[in-house]
Amino acid sequence: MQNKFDAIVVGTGISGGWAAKELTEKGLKTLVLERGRMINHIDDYHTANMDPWDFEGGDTITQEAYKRQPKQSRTGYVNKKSSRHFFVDDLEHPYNDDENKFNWIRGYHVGGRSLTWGRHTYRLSEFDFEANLKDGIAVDWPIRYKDIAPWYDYVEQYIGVQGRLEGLPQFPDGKFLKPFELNVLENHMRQSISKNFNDGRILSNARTAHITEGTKPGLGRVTCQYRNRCMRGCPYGAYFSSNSSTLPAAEATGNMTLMPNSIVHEIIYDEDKKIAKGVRVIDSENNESYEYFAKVIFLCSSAVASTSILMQSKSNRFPNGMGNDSGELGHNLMDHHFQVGASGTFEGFKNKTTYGRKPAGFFIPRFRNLGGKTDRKDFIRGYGYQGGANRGFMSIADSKEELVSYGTRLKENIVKPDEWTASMTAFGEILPYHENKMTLDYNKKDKWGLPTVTFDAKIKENEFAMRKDMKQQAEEMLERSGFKDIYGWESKYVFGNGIHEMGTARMGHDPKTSILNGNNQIHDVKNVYVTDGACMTSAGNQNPSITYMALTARAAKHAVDELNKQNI
Amino acid sequence: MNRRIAIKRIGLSFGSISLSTGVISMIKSCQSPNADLKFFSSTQISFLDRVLEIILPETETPGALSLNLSKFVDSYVSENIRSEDQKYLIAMIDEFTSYDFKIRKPKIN
Repeated sequence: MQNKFDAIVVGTGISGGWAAKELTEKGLKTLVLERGRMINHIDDYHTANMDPWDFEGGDTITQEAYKRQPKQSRTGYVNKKSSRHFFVDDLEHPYNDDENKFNWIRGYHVGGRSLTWGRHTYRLSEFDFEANLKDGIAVDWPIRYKDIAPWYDYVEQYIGVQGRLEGLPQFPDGKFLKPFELNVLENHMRQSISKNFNDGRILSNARTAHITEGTKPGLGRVTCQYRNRCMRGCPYGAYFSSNSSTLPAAEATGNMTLMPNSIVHEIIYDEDKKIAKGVRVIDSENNESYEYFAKVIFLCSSAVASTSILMQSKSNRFPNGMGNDSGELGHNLMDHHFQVGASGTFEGFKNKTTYGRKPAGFFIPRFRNLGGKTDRKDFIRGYGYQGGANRGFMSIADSKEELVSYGTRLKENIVKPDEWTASMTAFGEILPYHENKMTLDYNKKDKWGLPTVTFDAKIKENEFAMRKDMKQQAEEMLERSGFKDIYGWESKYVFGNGIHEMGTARMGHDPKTSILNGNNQIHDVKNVYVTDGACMTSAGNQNPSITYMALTARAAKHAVDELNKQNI
Repeated sequence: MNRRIAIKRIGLSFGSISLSTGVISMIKSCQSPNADLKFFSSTQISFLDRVLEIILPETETPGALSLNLSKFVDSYVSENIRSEDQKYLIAMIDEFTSYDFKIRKPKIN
């Protein structure tokens, strides 16, 4: 097989798919490498049309799954039978988290986590890009909102994002399709919260990457059918995934060579030309090694995996890992802390119920530390809430009265609509702490002889103080919206459980303190771009995928321009 | 009420296991009474059949027996319960079924 290409893209998830599409559409012969197996859109979503009763013994995490996927199981949901095949076997793909528990939740297959992501799409705002500089922590972002805004526009219009325009600076509007409507109780909460708080906070419709009107390019992408089975892969292509959208676009150019089962473990450095010249690959099935060469390399295999590849790419010039002049590679590991919020029941709207299964609820954007009376003394940065309201049915486990009613009375009771309930969970920013890090353990190797990743990260005072406020404000918003039986909760957050790991090869102005420049290039290896979560200088509190897509498209344009100018 | 909708909305609690609305709704898959048992003995299953029929009897909608719900419980317990809990469950069922209820009959004066 041919081993020379114009470009190599490592990874096929959210970022890799975008790199593949942009580079091939600009005419580059591109090799796209994926360590996992092939997943074809629709054909390989074998659980997509299964009803609950089609899963013998229930759609559950089985004892067998707990054995094979002890770490993926910690989430309590990702490896139920309906989506288990999209998450790794922990015995085959081990990592180390003995010091502090870390959840590295991921799937090895074409499409990666673009198939199973949460689909919430919130732009970072100027508050986020300025945050580190203003607070004097970590390093400053080398870009500002204006640099990425047109790329958010571009990406949103291509993938399809539904949302409601609100005109808030901390919650920048985008190019949205019509929103999923709020239901009657969510609407009531929107009104109550605006009326009862004077700090400008609002409840808006969750913004997600679902098509709500018309179609989008890709493999027959049409509007959402309100099934809410997104995590199994969508046969309608209604939410964005690499498999339904960007990879088919790349394929259509005729410029893409997609190779699954190909584990990239090293970038080859050319000591003379001082650029990268290719990658080393192990075939995951027959263990054979290969080398592929290209003019430009896009590392898009997720924060931890991309950083791991850079760490393994040692040369005379870079003895501590490619691009690691600063010693920051693997440090500043971030995620979003959550699992704190509140729920309550609502008396009223007894003559209303819901119809269909809307795959998105509401979002309450950040309302802390935005200046004036929103500023806090106990913590910096902020958080947002994701939640929803619903009218459920009675469950016999819920009350004593129902437990004693069995037989005919039970059958009558359990089909009666229950009260309306609402629930919200906060997602908060984790600061970039140098001490939070990943390293490689060369004593513990995987079945391909590659070093395993060791995590050591925890949240600190700022996050703990924020969590108190996250719980309190959730309770207060429900209270002022007229809820009763309000239950605030906070469970222990395990680092990584937000499945937003990021920051381990951060962008910055200065090669002495960062790995990447403002174009996502490695400072001193200009033909290597890292455009996944590794590049993040701070975390914000927003779900990050849309930012990775925008940065990837922006970097691809930069790379092609640089190639044309013969700068790389 | 439409049977399919009724089935979808049923929730059931068995011992310390609580099943969500979604989990219980796969009773449609339990339609063949002679299917091989994964976990329980036929004695235990006939006990379960009787208990489940008391909880969910046949009315204008199907009951536990006609839906062969014990088959679902068999699969569920086999796949989802830790082995120590399985042992405990079996011990409780055996204790209950071997109990001589006549002893507890109140005396009639």
